[in-house]
Amino acid sequence: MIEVSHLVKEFKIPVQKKGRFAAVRNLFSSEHTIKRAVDDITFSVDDGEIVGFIGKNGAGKSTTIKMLSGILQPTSGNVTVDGIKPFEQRMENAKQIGVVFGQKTQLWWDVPLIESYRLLKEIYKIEDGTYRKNLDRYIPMLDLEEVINKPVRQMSLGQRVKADICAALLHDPKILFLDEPTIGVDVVSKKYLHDFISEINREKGTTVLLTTHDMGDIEKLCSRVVVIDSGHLMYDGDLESMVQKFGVIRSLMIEFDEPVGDFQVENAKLTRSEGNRKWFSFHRSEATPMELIRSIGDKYPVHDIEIIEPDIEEIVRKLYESK
Amino acid sequence: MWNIRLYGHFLRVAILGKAQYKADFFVGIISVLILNAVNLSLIGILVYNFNTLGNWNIWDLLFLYSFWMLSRGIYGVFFWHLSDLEEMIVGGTLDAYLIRPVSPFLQFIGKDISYTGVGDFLVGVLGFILAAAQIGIHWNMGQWAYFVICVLSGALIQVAINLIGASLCFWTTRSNAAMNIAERFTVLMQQYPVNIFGKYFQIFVTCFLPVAFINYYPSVVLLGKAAGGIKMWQYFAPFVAIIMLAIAAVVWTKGIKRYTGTGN
Repeated sequence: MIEVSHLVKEFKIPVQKKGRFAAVRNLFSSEHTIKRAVDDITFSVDDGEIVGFIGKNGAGKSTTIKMLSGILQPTSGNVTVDGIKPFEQRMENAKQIGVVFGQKTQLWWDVPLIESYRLLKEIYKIEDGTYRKNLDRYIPMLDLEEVINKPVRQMSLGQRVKADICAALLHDPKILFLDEPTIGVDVVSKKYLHDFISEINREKGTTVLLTTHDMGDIEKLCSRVVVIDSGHLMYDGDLESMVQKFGVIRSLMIEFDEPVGDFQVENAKLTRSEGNRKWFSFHRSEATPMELIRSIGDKYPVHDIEIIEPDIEEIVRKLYESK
Repeated sequence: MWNIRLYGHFLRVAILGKAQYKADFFVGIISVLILNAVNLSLIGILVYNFNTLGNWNIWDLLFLYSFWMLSRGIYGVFFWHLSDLEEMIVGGTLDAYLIRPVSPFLQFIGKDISYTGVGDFLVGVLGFILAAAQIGIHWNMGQWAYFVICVLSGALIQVAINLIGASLCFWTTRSNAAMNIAERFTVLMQQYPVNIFGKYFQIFVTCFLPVAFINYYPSVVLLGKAAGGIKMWQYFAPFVAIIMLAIAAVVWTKGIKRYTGTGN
C-alpha cells in the first residue's frame, strides 16, 4: 500500500549573521546550511496495517508524513501510495488519503461542524448515500452528537480532534495519516479515538500510519512500529520483537507471607522494598522470572508475584541509547 | 464548471461564518462609511481652495473616487483576505489545502468574505449617482458596458496586485509590510487625477504598478478628459487586468511550488 525507498528530504536553513546590520545583511544573504530532515529511509506498509511512527521531536516523522500526503516534494528517493506518487499526482493522491494534524484543525472554524462536513462532501464528491451512512455511523461512535451543530471554535480539544478524524474519513480513504492525533487530548476522548480507529481499520481495511509520542496509542493500536531518529530509520518491526530486543530490563515483584530482610539473588538486583513486597530487576538474557521465583521460593514463603514489563517509552529511550 | 459551483459552496460557508458575528457586520460597514466621509471631505477642502485640480472639478473627482470605490468594493468583498496568506504560511495552515483534491487557490479565495467591501461598494454607488447627476452623464449602451467592464477590470487589477504581493511571502515568509506600503500608496493616489503628478510618477503608475488603470484612465475616457500619463494606453484597462492576472497566476503557481519544495 505504501512504499518508501531511500527517501531523503533536505531543507535549506539560512545562515543567521551576527554583528552590525545583521538584519539587513541576512536579507540579502543567500548563504545557507543544508539539513537532512529525512535521511535515506526505506520501509513499506501493507494493506490494512496500522503502523506507529515514533521518534523524538524533529526526528523527521512529520516531514515523512508530509511527503506521503503530497505536501512536500522529496529531495530524492521514491514514494508511492497505492501506486500513486503523492507529489507528482497530488490531486489523485488526495482522493485516496485522509490526513489529520492533531495540532491544526482542517475544519471551518466559525461554522457549525455539520457545515464543514457538507462542504467536504462537495469537495470529495461523496455520494449522498455514502455520506449519510458514514455520518450516521461515525457521529455516535465518536460521541459527536452534541457538538454537531456547534462551531469548531467552541469545542474542546478532544472534541475537535474527534471531529477532525471524522472529517478525514467521510470520503472512505484507503489510507489514513494521523500526525500526533492524541496530543493534549483527554483520556476519555483518547479512548474514543482508539476504539474508532481500530474499528474502522477492522471494518473497512483502512491502512493507518500514525505518528505519536503517546505510547498508549502504540500499545492500543499498532502491531508494528517504525522508529526514526535524526532522519534515520532505527527500527522497523513488530512491537513484540522490539520489546524483546530492547526491553531487556524486566522487573519482578514478590509479595511474601511475612516481612523478610533484604537479601541477594543471583542475576537480579533488589531495587525496592516495601512491607511484605520486594522488587527485583533482571536482564532478559540472564534470568527468567521462573528461575528467580524458584530460587527465592526455596528460602522464603512466597504469597504473590507480578512480572513488570518495561513500558515502551523506556524501550524507545534504550533504543536511542543503543545507537 | 464544477469548480465554480464548489466556490459557491465555499462562499456559503464563509457567509455563514460571518453571520456568527452580527455586531461585526454593522460596525464594519459604519466604520467604512466614516472613513470614506473623511477621505471625501479632505478632497472637498482641497478643491474648495483650488477650485479645480488638474482640470478636474469637485464632481469629476467624486466620480473618480466612486469609480475606485466600486472596484475596491468588489475586490474587497471577495479578496480582502489575500493578506491572510502570510499567517497561513507561517502557521502551516496552508498544508490543509494541499491534501484535498481541489486547487489550493480556490480553497484560499473561498475561505473568507469581507464586509468592508460592502461599505466601499455602497459609497461607490452613492458617489457615482451624485456625481453622474451633477456632471450630467448621457451614456449610450457601449459606454455603460465599458463602464461596467472597467469597474470589473479595476477590481481584478487590485486582486492581481495584492495576490502578487501576498505570494511574495512564499519567498520571504513575511510580505505584509510590503503589501501595506502598496496599499497605502494605492489609497493615496486613487483619490487624485494622475495628471497632477510628475511625469515619472505617471509612467510608474501606468507601466510598473498599473494602479492608474483602476479608475484614472477609465474615468478619463468616460468623462472625455485630456489624459496625462501615456495617452494611447487610456483604453487598455481590461487588457491590463488580464495581463496582471496572468502574472499573478504565474507568481502564485511558482510560490506554491516553492512551498511544497521547501516546506515551512
